[in-house]
Amino acid sequence: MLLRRQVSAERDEHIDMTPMVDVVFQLMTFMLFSVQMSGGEKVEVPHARHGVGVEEDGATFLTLLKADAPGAEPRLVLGNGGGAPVGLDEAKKSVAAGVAAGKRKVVLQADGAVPHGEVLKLAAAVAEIEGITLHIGVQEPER
Amino acid sequence: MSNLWDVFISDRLEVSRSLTLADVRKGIDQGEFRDDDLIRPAGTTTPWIRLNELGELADVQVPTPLVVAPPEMPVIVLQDDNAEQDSFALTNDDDDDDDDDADITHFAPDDEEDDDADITGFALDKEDDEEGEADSAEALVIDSLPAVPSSQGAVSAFAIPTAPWGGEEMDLENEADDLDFDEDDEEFDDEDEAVAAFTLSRNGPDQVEELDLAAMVDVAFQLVLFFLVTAQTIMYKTLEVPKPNPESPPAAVAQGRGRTLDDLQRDFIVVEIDASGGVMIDHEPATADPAALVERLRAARLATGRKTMLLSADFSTPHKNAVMAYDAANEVGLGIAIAKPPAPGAGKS
Repeated sequence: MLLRRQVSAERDEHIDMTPMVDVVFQLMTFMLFSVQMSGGEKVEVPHARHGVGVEEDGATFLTLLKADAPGAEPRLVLGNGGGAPVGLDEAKKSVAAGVAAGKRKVVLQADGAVPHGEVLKLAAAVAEIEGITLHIGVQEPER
Repeated sequence: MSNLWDVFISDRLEVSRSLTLADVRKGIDQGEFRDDDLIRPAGTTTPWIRLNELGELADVQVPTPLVVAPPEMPVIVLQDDNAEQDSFALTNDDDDDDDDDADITHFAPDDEEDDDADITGFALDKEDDEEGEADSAEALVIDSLPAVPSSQGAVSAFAIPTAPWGGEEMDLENEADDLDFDEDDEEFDDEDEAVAAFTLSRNGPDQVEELDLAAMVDVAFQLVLFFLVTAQTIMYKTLEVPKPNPESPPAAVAQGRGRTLDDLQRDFIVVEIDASGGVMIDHEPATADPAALVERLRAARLATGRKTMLLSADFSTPHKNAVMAYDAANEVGLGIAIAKPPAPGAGKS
């Protein structure tokens, strides 16, 4: 009995790991969901079932926002929708800088309502830069 | 009264009871008994001795009954049911019920067997009155002997074959331990800390059942780190499209399209989208629905074997319509070619 009591007292010194495990698994669950929610586009890109993933760090992003007023030109901005509208030349410079930095992918995040011809015009402009691959930004279809 | 013997056969762990000397000799001759088998007078609780220690069985006389109990035992067992031995008597009936004697009488014969066994000189049966008289006399004689110190039991009482069981030191406990017959807790009194350790090990599995969560925590933290690192690189879903040919002026393309659409249709599945979103596949109207478009493209591919879709969308049609066509082509596995439409204002010549 004495030995048994000693052993149980020794085991009581251990930290109860159960709450820590619970917290860690909750963190994991949060991370899992946050990964799926990330990549929120600031522009309403079209829906598509198929597509390839492009890392944000590995591509140059150009965004075509739909015109504020009917008949107006769509606004071209650099990056993912922030910043002031720029022209095609600035967009080409941005893409060229990206290629120089190793970013050979160009993602056109065009709003679904933007005229198709405007997207192709932008694509033709950036296609003048050698060594790029052109991507059109889409999003998961609504379920 | 004839001499009867119990023989413990070591290799089979069996006891052959109530054998005569002739039977024992016969057993030895036939190889049924070996030298290391054990023998003792039948119906007694005297220690076993080896057959080879007993010496010539012919020389063995009727053993003088002397039964020495363990030190803890209050009674020196000297069986007789007569009244003059009441103070030391331990009847055989009592043996059956008395747990304290269980380790000693473990191999003692039952009452029924005692009827045969008591002829060894140990009167164990109440019904055997005639023998009881004689045994009583013997018992008195033995009782007068000085007390046998059990602590000297290292020396076997049976080392001298001619005088077995006669006034020699005997150690019942050691004999019993050597034979390993005891089942009661009597033997635990002789054990030391080894018994305690053994008892502790029996309780071990109750505590081993607890899971060691430290390893699980390690793995979980590594998973968390993995997700933290991977979450920093946000993935954007994109469609890879071919680059338009920058050298082709829109007017030239438009001009060429008008001439060569029929030729192109031999190599491409031509999908036309007008400004309002209407879709035509190979100049035939189609439903502007992704699922229907996929079916039409699949059918066209199967019918003609063309593997590339040529998208000719109006300049002003919404970008999402073109993406719908791209997605349908990817669904079917078609390659994508894009015909650059003329900008508004450019004349369609």
